[in-house]
Amino acid sequence: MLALDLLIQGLVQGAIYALVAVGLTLVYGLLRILHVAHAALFTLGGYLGVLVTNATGSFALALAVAMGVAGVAGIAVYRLAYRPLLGRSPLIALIASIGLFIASEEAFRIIFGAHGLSYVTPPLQAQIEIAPGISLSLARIAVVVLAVVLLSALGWLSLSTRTGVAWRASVSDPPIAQAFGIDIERVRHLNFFVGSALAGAAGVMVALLNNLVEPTMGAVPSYKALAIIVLGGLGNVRGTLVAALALGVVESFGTIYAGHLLDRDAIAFAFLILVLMLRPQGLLARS
Amino acid sequence: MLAVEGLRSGYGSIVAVDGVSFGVGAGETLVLVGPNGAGKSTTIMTLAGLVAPLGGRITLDGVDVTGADARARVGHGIALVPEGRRVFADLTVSENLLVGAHRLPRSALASGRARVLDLFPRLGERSRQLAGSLSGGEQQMLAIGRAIMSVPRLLLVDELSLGLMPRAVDDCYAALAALQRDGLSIVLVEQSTERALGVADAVVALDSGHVTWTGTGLEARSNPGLLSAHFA
Repeated sequence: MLALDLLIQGLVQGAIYALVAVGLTLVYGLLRILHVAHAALFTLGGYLGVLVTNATGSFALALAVAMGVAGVAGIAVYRLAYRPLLGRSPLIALIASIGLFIASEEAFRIIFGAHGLSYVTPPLQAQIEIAPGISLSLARIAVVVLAVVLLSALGWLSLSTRTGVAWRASVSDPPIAQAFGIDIERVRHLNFFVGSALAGAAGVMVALLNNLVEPTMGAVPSYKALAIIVLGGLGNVRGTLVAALALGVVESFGTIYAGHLLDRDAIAFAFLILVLMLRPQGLLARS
Repeated sequence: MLAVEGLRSGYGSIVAVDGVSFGVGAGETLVLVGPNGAGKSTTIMTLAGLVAPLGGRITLDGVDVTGADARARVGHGIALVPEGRRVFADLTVSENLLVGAHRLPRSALASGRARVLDLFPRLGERSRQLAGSLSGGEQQMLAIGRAIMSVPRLLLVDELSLGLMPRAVDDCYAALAALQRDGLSIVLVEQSTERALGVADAVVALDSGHVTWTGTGLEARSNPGLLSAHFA
């Protein structure tokens, strides 16, 4: 029973990683930029989730607002920080991204204080017994349901719509996509909106699980998501999903069985190093 | 229908095409020949809008498209079959064709697909396969099909036969002949001139970015020494 419990906890954590990492891998696929500031949108989502829920009492509204605002903020990051740097070395965009991420942490600290915020009345706290002896909070179930719904919607968008096909064509060969009439700029906006909205949703869910948002809450997801997209094969969305879930489960089991040796984050990175030694091209990359 | 006057173009500070002029009539096929580095590809990429011209004028049926970018050019009826095929490898054959028709309404897709599959029945059998898994010849068929999906008036083909098996070259030239019969205007760049001259209505020879010879396909074919003289 412990194993099942750990597996479920791991999948919940993996679902959150997946929501954050997908946006990161989408940006990498399209622009070849390591978008470290992505985690700032995760934090923004978390703060908006708490603020809007506390102000209106509606968690659903808070989730929608957080996703929408994070999405628009993602477009703003692209236009203000990345677009002016596109013709240059990706390292310059990476430095800009790191700077933006640090600045965002300080901005959250200045505006909302260093000690963070909590839900006045945390929603979705009821425990539900999903199997004999295993009960799960509604919040954890909501994390998994939300991740499945959002990532399925993303899959539908990219595989079954003309917009999605144009999006993937732009990732594959931007100039040729343009030569067939695809508006690359619109594709980039869509990419940042969708990826950032997913990160915002993840921020809301983490805020719900921890009942806390704080200025530095993006730091750990930021470097873990970088590790995950490398594991998944940079730019590969399916690989990223598999890597996110795998990392969640490995962490979950590792904390129990190897927790006396390494802490949770160290286990995650030991796993990353091990996988990259065996499969440097990533988990699902074509040979 | 296409008029190129005094075209100057290149990459960065390198001028690869300098003062090139030629015209293509409606339904005509013009073949650009010349040695490596003559400026053939730069010319065709500039016509497609993927390289910005440094000077000169490009008009299509009297409409000046010199300043139009690649995205606008396809709206004027120009479609490109690029060197090295450049099919979208991670997309299926069917999705590649869909991208070709990106500008067109959904209602135009079925007729476009029917036209492409009529030219290349093999693409129909492969429609759900990833383009990256196709053979070189099939990829070239797909690149031509993708261009045809945009319902162009002018087809730009950069190196039709480069790196293909002889059978595939035959298939691609057969398709080109069918498109000529449909009245499409074509600009074709080829390294292997003999095959290309066979389908040419007009021939322009380039060297070091300049036009060195202009004539009809018939003149070029009946005078094999003529062209080789320009390749020395």
